[in-house]
Amino acid sequence: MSQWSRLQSVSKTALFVLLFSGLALPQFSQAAAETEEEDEGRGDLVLNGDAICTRCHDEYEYYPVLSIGKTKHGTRADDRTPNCTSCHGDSQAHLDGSESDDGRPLTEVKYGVKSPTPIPKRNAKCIACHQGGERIHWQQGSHNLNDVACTSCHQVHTAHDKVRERTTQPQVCFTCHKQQRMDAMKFSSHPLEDGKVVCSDCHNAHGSAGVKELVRDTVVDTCYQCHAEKRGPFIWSHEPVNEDCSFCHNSHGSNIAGMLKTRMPMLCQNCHEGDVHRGLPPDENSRFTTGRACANCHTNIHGSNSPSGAVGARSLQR
Amino acid sequence: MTQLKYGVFALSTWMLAAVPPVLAADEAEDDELAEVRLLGTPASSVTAGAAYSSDDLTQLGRYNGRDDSGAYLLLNFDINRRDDETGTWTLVDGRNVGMSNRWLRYERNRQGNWKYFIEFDQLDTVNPYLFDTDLTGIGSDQMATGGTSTRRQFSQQRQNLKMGMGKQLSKGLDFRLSYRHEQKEGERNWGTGGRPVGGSFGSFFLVEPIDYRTQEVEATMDYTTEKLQLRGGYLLSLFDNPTEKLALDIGSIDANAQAIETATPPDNHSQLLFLSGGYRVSDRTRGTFKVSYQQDRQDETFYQSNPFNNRSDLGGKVDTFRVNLGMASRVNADLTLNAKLRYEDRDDNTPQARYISTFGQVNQLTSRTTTNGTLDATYRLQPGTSLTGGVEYDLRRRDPVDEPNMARREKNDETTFHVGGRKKLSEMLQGSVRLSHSEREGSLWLSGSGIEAGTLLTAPVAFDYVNSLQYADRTRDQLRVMLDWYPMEEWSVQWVLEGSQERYSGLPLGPREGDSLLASVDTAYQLSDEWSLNGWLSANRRALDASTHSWIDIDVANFATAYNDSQQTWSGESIDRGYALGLGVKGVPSDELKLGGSLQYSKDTSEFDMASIAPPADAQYAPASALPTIKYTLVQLKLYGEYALDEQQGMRLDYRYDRITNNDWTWNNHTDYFGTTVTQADNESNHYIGLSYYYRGW
Repeated sequence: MSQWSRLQSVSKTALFVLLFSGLALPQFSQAAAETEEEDEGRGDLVLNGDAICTRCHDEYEYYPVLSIGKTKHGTRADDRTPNCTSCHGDSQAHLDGSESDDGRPLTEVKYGVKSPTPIPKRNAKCIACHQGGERIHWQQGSHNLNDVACTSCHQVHTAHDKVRERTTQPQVCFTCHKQQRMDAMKFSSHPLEDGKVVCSDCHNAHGSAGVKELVRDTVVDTCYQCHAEKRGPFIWSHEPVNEDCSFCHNSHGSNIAGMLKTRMPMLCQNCHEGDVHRGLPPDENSRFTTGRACANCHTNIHGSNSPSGAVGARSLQR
Repeated sequence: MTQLKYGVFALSTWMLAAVPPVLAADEAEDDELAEVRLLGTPASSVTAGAAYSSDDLTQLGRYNGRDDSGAYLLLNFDINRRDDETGTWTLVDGRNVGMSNRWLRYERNRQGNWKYFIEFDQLDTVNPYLFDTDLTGIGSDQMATGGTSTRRQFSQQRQNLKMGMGKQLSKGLDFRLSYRHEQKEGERNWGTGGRPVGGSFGSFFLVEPIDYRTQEVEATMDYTTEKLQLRGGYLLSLFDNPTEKLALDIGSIDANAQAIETATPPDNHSQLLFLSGGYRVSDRTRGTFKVSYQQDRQDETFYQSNPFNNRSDLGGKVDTFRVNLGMASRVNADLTLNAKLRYEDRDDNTPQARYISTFGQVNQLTSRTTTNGTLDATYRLQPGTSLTGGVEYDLRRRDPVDEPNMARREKNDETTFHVGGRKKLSEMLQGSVRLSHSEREGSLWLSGSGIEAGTLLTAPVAFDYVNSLQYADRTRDQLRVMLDWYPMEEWSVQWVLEGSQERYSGLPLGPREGDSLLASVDTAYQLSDEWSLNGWLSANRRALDASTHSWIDIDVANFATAYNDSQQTWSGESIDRGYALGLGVKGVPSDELKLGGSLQYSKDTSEFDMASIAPPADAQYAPASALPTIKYTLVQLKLYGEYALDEQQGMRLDYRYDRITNNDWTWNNHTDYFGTTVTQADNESNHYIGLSYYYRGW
């Protein structure tokens, strides 16, 4: 980067931080003053109507609960937000029950890996409020069809839900998607580590109308979000490119540059072979195998818009 | 980097000076209730410090902003304020602010009412190869061979600026608008083929100057009631590239040669209009839909006129119409049915014109329709035990393509059946299994290039005899088994086994069979209230066996008649194997101290074995037994320690060691470029240490 570009970068960063931190800080001061509210007794602590639950449940037991107050669920000024029983059921037996050797009766809806509550019943509690927007197609999604509980991925009682943080989201997805965890460690992969590209940039885990739970309706349209230069249409198209990028690429990672599924020329020989040079066996010193292999010459492999009239344009060389 | 670091350092100092006292304003509340209420109050954090990275990196520093050795500023902040009276949030986030992969975001929203945000994201990507090249004019669209050789490394930078707003117009009616502007700049290694006058065909190194701009505008309107949810929207995507072509002057190699011109990606744009929704038909049944219309256009003015038509641009226009329907129903307490139907009609309406005179070839169109339907059923036998089954049908129809250069089919259809089950075997053990079987077939094969379009393949024609992956008849079987075991309250283990096998048939050559296998085990153990361990181990294998034939041994003049589908064929099997493990530990040995670490290791090998099926008459064209196996290993060790100075502030020490080895010979063996060689390091390692101060409070 040139010195001038660096200065430009500094200026942009400085402008951004000054502008928005400057906007934000007066709000902090005002809000800090407003938090000096009167002590009205224990009452509801973090959710509207939570008093009956928080008389026993607090932050110091086996499963701390009060941090839900730090989340959007705990925004009590929003009249759509839930109370404890919205998610856990009225649970009268739990409220009335007394401690015994068998313990207190459970809440009507219980979450976690050992919960006896059927997963559809658990998820129904979440969907009751969150059915719209990106979750319209939840019922058709593969997570729902495979009985994945919302709480398998989401932590509701914590300020930082790991799956909603870009730097930690892949760890959550990798809990079940082991192949993708391995692929992400290969030589060529998307930059997951610092949250630059994460699972939810391409997939809607809550179900979508597209294939593979993709955020767009097709594989190609999902990839074009960041790789729009490959969209065309071109004078000379490479048919698989506008049908499905995953014919050639493994978007989760590969040992081959460009996240290719197989090295060239072998990749290309899966479809093309026979005439001219296309069926030649690969050789470690051949220009058909080394460097960019087939793409050494067929350089516009995603499509060419060369109007030159040259024959090579049709074979994506120009 | 110096100015950048100083700039960010000044800003971070200012922020640290300003923010903590404000955030600490509530510290005076000291009764128990106030303490409890603080637990439910959004917290904020600021981390600032410095780090040192030991080495200049090519492969390890591709995306992490640490490709240069030296000192780096550490600055992260996550500031969350909520006005409890109004439910108004102010969120200011910054991650890796002192590095080139920085991310910044500011958001204000009144929950359930309005929202606006602005976000900046930068990603620097460093090419992992070193180029010694005599190319001049790098960075422009006019390059020439024959300059003084210099060592170059190429990189690109993406700068994304995104802003948006949302407003609840009335109860259940929400409007959202967002705009994204991405500028991608830099250079990337590229190339082109060519034949100097009187010389043999060769490849030339090129560098593409990257100056791409992508813009997206998306507007959506949501209407949500208890029974009905609707989302309608419009998406506009624009791509601009000021570079239309690259010209390469090869006068240093051949004084009589004309410059080689290679087209670069043209400007294009896409518009999408959609309506998506769901309706609860009854307490047990819900229907969903999505309809959309998309238009992709590319009409960039040609950088030179085409000698065989009068067009000044392609006039590229593709119209795509999609319909998606779904229905989910709990027929009774035990049985759930789920059905989906997806239809896509891609209509390539680009005008056809002759672009090449030699064969009178016109531009190819890519119209097709896809229909996909699934029906799944789940039956719950008892709590924790269920059976699943389903069928999927996929039908793809493609319009004819003018003079394709490979054999193709106009229709493929695939039917997949799957069965599975989930069972809670005991309080400690639960598992699931899923088996699927699919069969794909298609219409008659149509010939590739050299044969009149539409000709059916009823006689051997050499270069049409390939069973291409996306068209071939295919039988596929897949298995997935998962087992969760909780032997103790403190210990959990999870096993996963996945396998698949594919067999291809139809035409004599091409893919024959493939398989994949993944075995993985994960475990977590809570040693005590203070210490926990986790670990995982995975292994996988993917293989594809294909056959093809080498034409070069056949007399060109008698190609079609000389070819026999059993002659001069060879097979190759790509086998990728991988092993990976991870270990992690976290501990809180005292109130002040937190410790943790992780170790990840992976080893991947890529093999390619070859064998003659029918040896060529001339032995020089026979395949070698195998290509050299390529091995890639990665070791990553991360350690951290946090020491709390008081309840809200402390120090954090991070150490990280990365090492890779990579014997990929693909670039190091490439000697075909005129005047350019490429080097890929076979190993790289790096030590990184960071010390930072943190403040966490309200």
